[in-house]
Amino acid sequence: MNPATNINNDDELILRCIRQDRVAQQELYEKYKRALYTRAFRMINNKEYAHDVLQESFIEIFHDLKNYRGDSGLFSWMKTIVYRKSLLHIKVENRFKEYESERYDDEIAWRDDLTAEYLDKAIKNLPDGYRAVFILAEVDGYRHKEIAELMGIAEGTSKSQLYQAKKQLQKILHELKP
Amino acid sequence: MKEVNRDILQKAIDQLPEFDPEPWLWHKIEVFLDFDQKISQASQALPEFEPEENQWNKIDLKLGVGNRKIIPLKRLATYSLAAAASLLIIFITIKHFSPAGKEHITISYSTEIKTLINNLPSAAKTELDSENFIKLCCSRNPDRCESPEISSLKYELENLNHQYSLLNSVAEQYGNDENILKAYTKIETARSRVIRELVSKLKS
Repeated sequence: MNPATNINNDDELILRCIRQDRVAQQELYEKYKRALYTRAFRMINNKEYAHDVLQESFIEIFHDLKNYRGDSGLFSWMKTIVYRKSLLHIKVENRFKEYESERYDDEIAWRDDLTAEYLDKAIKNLPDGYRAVFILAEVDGYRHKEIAELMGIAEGTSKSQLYQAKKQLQKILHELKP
Repeated sequence: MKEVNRDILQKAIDQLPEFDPEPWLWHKIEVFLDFDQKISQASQALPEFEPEENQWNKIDLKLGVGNRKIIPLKRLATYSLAAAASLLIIFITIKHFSPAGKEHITISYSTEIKTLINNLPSAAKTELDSENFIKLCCSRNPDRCESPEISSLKYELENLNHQYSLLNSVAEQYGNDENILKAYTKIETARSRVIRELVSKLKS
């Protein structure tokens, strides 16, 4: 799922994109469109809006490539742009309740028969805020500090939202496959 | 948070399906990029505009006013007293020690200029005469011409003369059309005004 792993040298492609070489821009789009669209679609849960977000993201990517410093890796940089735009789209920042003092003592047990197909369906049924945190933390491995920064929330809120998201997922999975 | 079967969740996550965007999306992006490029090219080709020729002069004058030192009233009175006393001493010294026979050759600077001005009452009849008059006054009394007011007008006149010569070369190259004649009239009117102001300020 992560195209960064099989991409050797984007440097030349980046330089050509900065020079507004349209062939190179299309090449970059073709290379990353699937991975980025999947993220936008999974986060927003709506095909039409996910296309809008991907379009806006690529325009920003081509516009800002000259400022890309290379410290985070091209794919990570592009992925963050897509997530930021997706989050703006679903506007989740105000939907969170603070659970700073919550204890995470309840055990979360994933079923032995859990499959990607059911997990995908369950993620789609999560409320926007839970879905966003779960995707960022579990699917894409963002740290809570990064999630907090990206979503404009406290780190504690990110942790509590993830906990709530997992509990909710269990419930949904149980409903989907009793 | 305790999690049981965490590895099963991880396996499911790794196998989550991927999705492709619609094929038409690239064309939509391309349209935006083309538009962006066109705007950027057009904005680079936008014309530039020069400020008025005497703009720097105006700024210079304002800067001059700001930089002037304000002398407190008490100190000003002291300076005035000191200057008056010095002048008195000089006057008494000259009266007492200068030979009586040489008094008639002492001509003050201001008298000289006054004479010149009086001898040139008709000098401002033509612009050429007026310009010569200005040059003569400034060579005789450079301090007067260095005052911000007069130097600003002189600068404006120099600029107008420069514009006039530029216009001459354009007219030689392309001939006199209606626009060039209009520009001549405009420059000449401005020159006349500046010269008139200069002459009147030098005469005052």
